[in-house]
Amino acid sequence: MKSLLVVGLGTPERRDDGVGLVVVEALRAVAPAAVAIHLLPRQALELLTLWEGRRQVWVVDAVHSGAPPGSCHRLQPAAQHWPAHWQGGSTHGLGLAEGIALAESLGMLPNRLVVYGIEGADFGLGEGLSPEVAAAVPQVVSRLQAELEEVMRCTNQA
Amino acid sequence: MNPETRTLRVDYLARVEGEGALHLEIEGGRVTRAELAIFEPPRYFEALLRGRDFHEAPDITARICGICPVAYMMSACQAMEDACGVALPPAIQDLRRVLYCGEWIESHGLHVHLLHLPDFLGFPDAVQMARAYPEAVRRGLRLKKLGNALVEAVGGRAIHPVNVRLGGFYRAPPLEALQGLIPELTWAIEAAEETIRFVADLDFPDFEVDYEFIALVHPDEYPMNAGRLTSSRGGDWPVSDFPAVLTETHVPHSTALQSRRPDGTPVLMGPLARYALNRERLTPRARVAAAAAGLGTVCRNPYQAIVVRAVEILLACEEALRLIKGYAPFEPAALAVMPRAGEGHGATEAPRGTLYHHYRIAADGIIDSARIVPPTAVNQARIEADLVALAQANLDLADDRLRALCEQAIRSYDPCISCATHFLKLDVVRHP
Repeated sequence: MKSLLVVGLGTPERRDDGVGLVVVEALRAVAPAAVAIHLLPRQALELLTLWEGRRQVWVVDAVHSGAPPGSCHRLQPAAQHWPAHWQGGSTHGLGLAEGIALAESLGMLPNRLVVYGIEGADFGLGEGLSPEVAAAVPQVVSRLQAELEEVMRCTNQA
Repeated sequence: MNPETRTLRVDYLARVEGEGALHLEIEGGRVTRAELAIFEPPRYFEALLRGRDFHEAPDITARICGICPVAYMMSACQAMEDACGVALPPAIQDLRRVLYCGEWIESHGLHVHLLHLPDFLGFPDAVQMARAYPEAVRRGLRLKKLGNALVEAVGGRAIHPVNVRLGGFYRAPPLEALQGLIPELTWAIEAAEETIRFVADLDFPDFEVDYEFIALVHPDEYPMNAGRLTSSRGGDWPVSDFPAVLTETHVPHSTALQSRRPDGTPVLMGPLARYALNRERLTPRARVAAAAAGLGTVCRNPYQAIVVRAVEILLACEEALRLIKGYAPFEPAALAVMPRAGEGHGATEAPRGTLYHHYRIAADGIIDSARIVPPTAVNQARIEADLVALAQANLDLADDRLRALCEQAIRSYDPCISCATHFLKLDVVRHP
């Protein structure tokens, strides 16, 4: 099992909600071969069983915080506990916030977890991203790629 | 009795698949209205299907729900196979049943342990419950993982199976892929029994309804992929009679259509209905477990659906194990399905109840029309009627207690209000 994992979440039929999937699909072509890449469309809870035994995990998902569409938040919930005011907007029973909290309760969090949250604009029914969100995808992919390469370099040196 | 006028709203129903909102109105000590708003996508997908090739129906409709893609695929396949006059050999039917077992284990495993159980144990959600009952949550996660693994082994991918096609499968899975799941299934059978014992001892609110149940009934097996549409009040029909048995009407507060019997009676589908109409076709072990759990021959308390779901997990594990032990890869993995002008009907038992598809296709296989009736759209009228009765009987409770009771009741029907967004509502608070 590869110890580094990147997971994209989202619902592609709800426009910008699918941005996590788009980013991770694009990352697949440029990510180091030692990194496992997974897409979890429409399901977030699979994370718990998917990241079992991994050393470091990145999750990419759409967020809605009022920031300009396309902004990218980089968060490390495991390091400082998931903030209590982060409500799961998940309507699939358990979303990313609940999944992380649940994993924490059960001692199932990976050693290091990083969340890339991309601000969405349109979560209505339909396919395709809003222009501002689509325009942000290449930047997020490069940023994530650079972070992965950096982690690989540190791991190789250690 | 409370003489005042009260309005209760639950705008966001946690732990319900999808988005929904409940609106309850109480006037002068009487509950006058309970509206469950459902924002549902099948209309969007029906439009998307028109003009597409008939082979695409299973893959397109699978995207309606992240929890029950198999149900959508199976109902779509059956409807198209019906339109094209294709009958499948037992080997393909058996493999489809294994796939369906995976989805039941996955969906029920999640619902019983993580979504519904917190209500009974007095926790706001699974996260809080996990600290006090880590075993139950872990068991639920492990069962869900097994369900996924079954769907993946047969369907090729867990969330959105890609190995399913009209007439069968793209390829029969290798023997090792299925046999490798035998140890976990053996564990799951005992785990399911443990869950049944656990949920049987919960405190259930005292609430019973004289339901008209509708489910598929098959002479030889507990229904998943096949059977006649059957009512607990008498009558059984071929699946093609679905539109006459349950007529659809628009209601203003919901994007979903509501289905009722032609005389206006709301009906209940799902675990309670399947159990009432098919109890004698459970496996012997599941039947014994159900009896020990105090289910009786019919269960009319919607809260006890959690027990029936646990029994159905056991049944699905046993069925999957039996079929996998008898499995041998076969060829061809699918029959050829040639298009012809006409219409077809398909109905299968999704975890939440009977899921009906109807298509009209042209001679070249282009889809002229698509009709999808998900079980939640049928159950909606029944849920609303139950909520009126439940609220009426509990009017002396304060708003927050009454709201909690209603939410718990809604969750017991496991309504799938699917294809919602799952983005995170996020506040960023920055400290200097």
